[in-house]
Amino acid sequence: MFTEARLYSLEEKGQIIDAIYKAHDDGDLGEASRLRREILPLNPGLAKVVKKLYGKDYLVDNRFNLAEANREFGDGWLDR
Amino acid sequence: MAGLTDDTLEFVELLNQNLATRERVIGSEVQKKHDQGLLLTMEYLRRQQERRDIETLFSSELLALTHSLENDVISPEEETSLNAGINQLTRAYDCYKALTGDFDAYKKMQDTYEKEDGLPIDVARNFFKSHYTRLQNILRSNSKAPKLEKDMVRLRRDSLKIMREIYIEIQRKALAF
Repeated sequence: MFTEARLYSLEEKGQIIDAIYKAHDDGDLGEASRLRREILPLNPGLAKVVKKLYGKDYLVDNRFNLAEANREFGDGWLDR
Repeated sequence: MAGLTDDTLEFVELLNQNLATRERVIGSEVQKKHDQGLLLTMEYLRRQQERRDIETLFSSELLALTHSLENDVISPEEETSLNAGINQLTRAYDCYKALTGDFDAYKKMQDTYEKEDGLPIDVARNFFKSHYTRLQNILRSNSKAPKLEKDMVRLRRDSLKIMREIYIEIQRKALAF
């Protein structure tokens, strides 16, 4: 069970994606959504796009895992 | 921007999943997962097309375009074209909002007075047409791309047709035809 919003290795990301499909197959779409958003780190390029289109609050309020974006752009990037 | 709903959230989640699988598309198992993700994304787009909610369709296309600009390997020409698409889409959305909310602003923002069946070919109508062609050109210049990637662009192109239909209906009502 994945519960932390942190950096994950490629290997672990593979496991998260397996867990997403398992949730999907079990009909647990809420869990699939949680794993995609709160656990699987948001791709930095996509994070930039979403921030530009919908703003910082959208990323924060929806509890996206921003660990990769923070590593890529440095802490405080959300406020810049 | 438009359609800040749970639907938009689902689209962002699916794009994120596709990017994560793309990071390691080596070996048939991962390729299969990547393809599955693309299929889910297409399912999402089809669902939005059936719902005929123009705001979500605007929002999905804006996200798809900006995503492509940030994450795909593209030529400088493609970059220019995508940026033009984003600008036109934003203006088209403003035009739609004006049509449904602020008629004086709507009248001011038109480039031409051209009409079809009595309805103005306005900024939004021009966008639906030019962006359809843009996606068509992307398909043509990426003819060797994997089938699913091309299907996705085809689906986005279909969305433009649907958006145009919905928009004409809105125009008819707003302009009391």
